[in-house]
Amino acid sequence: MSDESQARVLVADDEDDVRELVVYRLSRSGYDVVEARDGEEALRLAGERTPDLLVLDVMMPRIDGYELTRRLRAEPATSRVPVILLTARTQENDVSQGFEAGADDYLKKPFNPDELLARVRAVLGRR
Amino acid sequence: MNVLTAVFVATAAVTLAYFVCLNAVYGAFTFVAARSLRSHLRQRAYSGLEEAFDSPFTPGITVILPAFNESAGIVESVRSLLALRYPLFEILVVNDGSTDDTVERLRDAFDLVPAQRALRDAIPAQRVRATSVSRRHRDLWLIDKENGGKADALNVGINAARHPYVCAIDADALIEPNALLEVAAPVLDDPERVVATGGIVRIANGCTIDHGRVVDVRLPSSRLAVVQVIEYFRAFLVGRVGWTSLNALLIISGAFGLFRRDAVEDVGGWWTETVGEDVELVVRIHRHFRSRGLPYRIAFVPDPVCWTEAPEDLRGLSRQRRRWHRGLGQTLWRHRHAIGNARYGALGLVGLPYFLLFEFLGPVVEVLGPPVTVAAYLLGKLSLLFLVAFLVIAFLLGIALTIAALALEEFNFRRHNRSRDVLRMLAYAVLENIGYRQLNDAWRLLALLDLARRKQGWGTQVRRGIGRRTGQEQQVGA
Amino acid sequence: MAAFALAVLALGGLNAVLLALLVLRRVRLSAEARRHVALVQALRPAAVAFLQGDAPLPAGLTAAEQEVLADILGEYARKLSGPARTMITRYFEEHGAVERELEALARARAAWRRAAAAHRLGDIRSGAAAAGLLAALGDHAREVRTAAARSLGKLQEPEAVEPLLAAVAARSVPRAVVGWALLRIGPPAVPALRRLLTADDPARRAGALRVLGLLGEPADAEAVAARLRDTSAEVRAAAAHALGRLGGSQSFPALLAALDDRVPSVRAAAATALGRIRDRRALDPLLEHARSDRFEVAHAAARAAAAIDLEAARRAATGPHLREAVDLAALA
Repeated sequence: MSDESQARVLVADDEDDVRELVVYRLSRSGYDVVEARDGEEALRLAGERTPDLLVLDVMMPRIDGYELTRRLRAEPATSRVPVILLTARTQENDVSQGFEAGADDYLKKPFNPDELLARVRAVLGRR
Repeated sequence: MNVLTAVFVATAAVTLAYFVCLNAVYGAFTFVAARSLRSHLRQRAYSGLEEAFDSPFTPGITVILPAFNESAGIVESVRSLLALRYPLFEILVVNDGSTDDTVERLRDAFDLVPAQRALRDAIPAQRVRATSVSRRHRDLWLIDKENGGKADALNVGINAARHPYVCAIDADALIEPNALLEVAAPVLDDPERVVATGGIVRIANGCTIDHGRVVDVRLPSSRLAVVQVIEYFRAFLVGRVGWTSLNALLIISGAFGLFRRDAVEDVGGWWTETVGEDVELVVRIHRHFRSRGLPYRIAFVPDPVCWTEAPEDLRGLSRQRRRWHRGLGQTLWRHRHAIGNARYGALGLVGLPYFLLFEFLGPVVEVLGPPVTVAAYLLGKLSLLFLVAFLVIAFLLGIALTIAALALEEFNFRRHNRSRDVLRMLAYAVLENIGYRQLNDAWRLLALLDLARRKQGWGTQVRRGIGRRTGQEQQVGA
Repeated sequence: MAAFALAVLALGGLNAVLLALLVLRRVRLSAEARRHVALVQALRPAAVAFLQGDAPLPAGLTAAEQEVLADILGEYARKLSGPARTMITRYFEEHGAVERELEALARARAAWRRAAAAHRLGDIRSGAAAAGLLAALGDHAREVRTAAARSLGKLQEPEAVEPLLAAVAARSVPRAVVGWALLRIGPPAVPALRRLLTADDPARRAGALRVLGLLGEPADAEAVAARLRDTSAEVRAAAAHALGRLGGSQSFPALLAALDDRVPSVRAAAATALGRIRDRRALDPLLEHARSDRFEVAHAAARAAAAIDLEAARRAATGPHLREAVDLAALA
């Protein structure tokens, strides 16, 4: 794995404002950030060049966060890439569904950008 | 000769009165709708739907999906139902004795395993053969029963339902993700009184559909389908909004309707001997509550909740319209005692008589009226001026009402993004009165004959399938 | 003759007017939409930088730009928590937005404007709005009351608990929204909820019990169990549900007694609660009710029995409810 300052993070969220904020925060913290508007675009970008971490919204059109995580886990190239799910779906079975799909962490909306950054650092530090 | 002339003149007079009343009613409804839609849309943002989605106090809903030989689209339908945004609901697919591989497809797609399900015997129905549940989605059940028709399948759904509310839907309708929340809004506001609600049904032909959701609203290329799009606007945005204000809404679309389960049980479920089981149930519910003097409300939510496929061939459309008309007739006949009956308030005095005279018998006037009026002129009983003026005024009024309906759509919803589509609809608003309306009347007249001959059954609609097969983006009728 | 010509002209004119309205509206909306999108694209980066503490907001904005910026920040207020959100609250407070919205809430003539104000005050989440929102719970218009309830939940205002439950009892605000708001207020609501357990109005007692079941502590179980002897069936059922969440084994005797209540909904609630607290002594009574009671009660009892002891339920599995409960439990 590359060292942290060059780590590549893929952010996928159909809500423009959230995506813009997350991208800004992560770029300012030294990560190389790629963004996707929906699950399909995220899959394509991840296929082109495997990211070191994915931050995914769950409620996205075309392919939602759970489905996307499952598909990434099914591909050898991306099966070990950590996934953080970021979403407004907060019911208990939503959370367990997220982990069952293969996510490494789950952050509920409304979220604290500082906390997201901390989790990103933690997850990337673990690997 | 005198008698004959008198008959002609009388018919001409009736025709004139008919047009005047019909347009007056629709004109009044248009005004009501304009105000009602505007205030509804303003309120909508603050009606607390997002909070309801997140609340443990939102009542549960059992979605009932009757299916007969729906192999082509059933898996996608269920998938889109699983994506519905509602905190507490279950999905009961009722297989009405399909002869194709509907059941196998469901079993494979959702990992269904046999599981017993306790059933009430509240409403008599055909025998249930087996029940199974999805291992992956514990709230998705398949109830396999012997064939008995859509109404019968719905009744089995009621017998099996776990929650206090049920939502009856059509297997081939595409349901909007927020549909349950929206259609439940009147219930959340007033749970004691609201016993049934329905929403706006739109036509999916021509729209771009992706993973069971309409992502781009476009007009279909089929002329017949475009005219139906316009018709639906008038029916839903003007008609239903208007009737709701009188608490005399007769029609909650079979494609998507929410009911309080105890109300449906109290009236005995859907009637299995009619092709218009959706209208008939609503009328029966009205009568039940009004005759007992119990406070109740049947609400229409002017939000788009589902999309259906409209027939694009004349044959399919004529079968559909004849069936609808037969259903209306069967309902009116069954509830004939309520027509004009003051005991039933606005339903008996306004709603049912309107539907009898203007909807049910309307085609008679519309088909016979104009030729008879011309004959009256030829007999010298009417001046040419009167005849021409009458025809022109009727034509212009019809167009005005349609354009008003389109304006309501444009001002309040604006789903059609392309200006070209709006222009096309305006053009068809004019053309609708030349040919389509007459065809419709002819079909409905035939339906009257069908009823006289006691025809049964549904006939078939050629389904092209609205983009479900692969779940990929697909445009229909392009 | 003249009358007809007039009528034709009038109708033709009407059609022309409607057409013109349609066309003009579409044109105006497209232009507006494009302008709005452009403004949002231009201002959002500035908002993002501001929220991350990197730069202050640009000065000298036009009124239109201010409005768009306020919308952007309002949206972020809904999606973010922590220091970023506090910054947004402070921004709105400093720019007098809170006063403006409070003013609109109190005085605007159009109901939708008052509702919008109530809603925005919740997004801004400034404590200064609490009093105004509490007053708005008594507004004539339902959507204003609903927005006020929601915003009081967002503000997490403990003073709102009693008025909110009063609103539910009076059916003036949808129950789902009040439930949500009370849960958002969270543990600070509990003292008020405890007091309401002995309110005069049974609807308020029931409402308090429902929320207490989700927010309360095991120590509340005794007070809740006392409500199992309430005169109102609705209250008894709500108490049973709440005990299922709060209670431990010491609730067993009270719940067992409730299992034989006159009213079926209370029995069903007691059965569900017994299944939750998993006291083995409940097994036999539950099996009995699963076999012989009415549909809803038998159903709840069967599920509860299967939850306590799946094997025993399987051995006893007579009747559709027990078989269903066993089948489902076996899947888990």
